[in-house]
Amino acid sequence: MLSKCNQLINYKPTLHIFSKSEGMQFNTVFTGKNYIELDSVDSTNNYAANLINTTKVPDGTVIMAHYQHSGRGQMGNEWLSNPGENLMCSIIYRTNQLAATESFVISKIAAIAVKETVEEITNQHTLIKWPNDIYIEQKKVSGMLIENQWQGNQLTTIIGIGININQTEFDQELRATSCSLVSGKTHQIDTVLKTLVQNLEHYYNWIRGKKHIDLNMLYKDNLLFFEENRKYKSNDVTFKAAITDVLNTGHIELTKSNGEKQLYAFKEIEFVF
Amino acid sequence: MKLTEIQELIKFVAKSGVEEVEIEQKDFKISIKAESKKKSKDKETVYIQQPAAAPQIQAAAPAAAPVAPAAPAAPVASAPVEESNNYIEIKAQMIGTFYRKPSPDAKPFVEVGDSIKAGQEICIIEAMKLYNKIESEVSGKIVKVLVDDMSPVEFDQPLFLVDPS
Repeated sequence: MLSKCNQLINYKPTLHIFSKSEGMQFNTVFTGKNYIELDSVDSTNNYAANLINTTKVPDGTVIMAHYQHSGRGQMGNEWLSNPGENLMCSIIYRTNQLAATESFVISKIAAIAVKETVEEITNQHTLIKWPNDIYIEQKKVSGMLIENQWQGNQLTTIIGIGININQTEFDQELRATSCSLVSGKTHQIDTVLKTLVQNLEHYYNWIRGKKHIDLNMLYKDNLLFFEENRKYKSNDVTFKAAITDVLNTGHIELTKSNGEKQLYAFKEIEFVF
Repeated sequence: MKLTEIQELIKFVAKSGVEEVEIEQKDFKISIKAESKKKSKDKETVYIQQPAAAPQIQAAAPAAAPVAPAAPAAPVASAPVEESNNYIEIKAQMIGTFYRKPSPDAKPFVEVGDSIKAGQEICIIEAMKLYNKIESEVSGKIVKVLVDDMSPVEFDQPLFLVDPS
C-alpha cells in the first residue's frame, strides 16, 4: 500500500524553520485572510473537510500544519513527512463557475502555482508531471491531493499541497527530492507558503476571468516530457509515444510514431523512467 | 469545434438547467436544446410519481395479497415495478472511478439498509486525480448499491437506489 508514498519515515529531531504565525500576512486579496496554523494534525485536508462540515468557512481559507501524522496522498497512499521540514497546507476555495467536467482546471492552476513557487525559491527548472505532481530533474518535489464537494453546481474544493522543503534524505525508490537538495540552501517555510498562496490566488483569478485557454497553454508549456518521445506503460504493455495534448477533462493524449493517437485517464497510463 | 468539446458542451447544458444554447463561430453553428428539463431541474435524480403515492401502494399490497392465488400473474408482476418507481436513483455527476470507502481499509460510507440524510457523504468519484465527495440529495434508506467499489462509472449512471419513504 505504501509503494507510492512520497517520503521516507526518517524521523529526525524537529527543525522548525518557521517564524510563528503572528504577522503572517499574505499579499493577496482574499486567499489566506483566514489563516489557521496547526502544530500537528491528522491531515490538513481532513481538518479542512471538518471545518467545512461544521462551520461557514470563508473562501480562500488556508490551513497549514507543521506536522501531519496521517497525511494522505492518492486513495490509500500515505504522505509521510519529517516534522517541521516541509510545507503541508490546504486551501479552500468555493465557486459556482465550474461544471464537474471542467473541474480539472483546479488541478492545472494548483500545479502551475506550485511549479512557479518551487522555481522561484530554488532557481531550478521545475516542471509539472501530468496530472499535478511537481518535478525537478525527474524527481518529485511536490504532490497534491484535491478533494471536491459538490452541492448542485456549488463546488467547495480543498487543495492539499505538500512541498518537500528542507528534508534531505529520501528513500531512493521514491524518486523524491526537496527544494533544499536542489538549491543547496535551507529555506524559510513561511516564505514558501506566502509565495505559494500568492501564486495560487493569481491563477485562481484566471479561472474567475475564464482564461481557460491561457491556463491550458501555460500548463502544457510546463509539462514534463511534453512532445518528447518516451516510454509509457498501459495495461502492462510498454510502448513509445509522445504527450501531444491534455484535454479540458484532464485526459492525456499520447501519439505514437505511426501517428496513432490515444486518450488516457489518470491511472490508465504510467510513465516509465 | 472538436467532438469532445461538443460532448462537454452538451453535458454542461444538460447540467446547467438552461433550456437552449446557440453558439455560432466562423463556419460553425450549434444549437443545443434541453426539452422541458426546466421543470424537473431541482430534482434531476428524482423519479418519484407523487409523494402521496407511496402510502397508497403500501396499503394496496396487503389488500392484493389474498387475491393473489386466484389471479397471480397480474398483481404479482406489477407490484415490484410500482415499488421500484418510488425509489430514487442517485446518479454519477461525472465520469470517473467509484469508491465506496474513504480509504481501502476503511468501512464503506453507506451499506444497504442504512438510513441516509440529504447532504450525507455516500461515495467518492475520482476523476483525473480529483476526489469528488458525492453527497446524497435525498433522505431515505439505501435499497441497493448499483456499482462495485473501484469500478469506472459513466456520467448519469445510477449508483444507489434509495427508498425515500
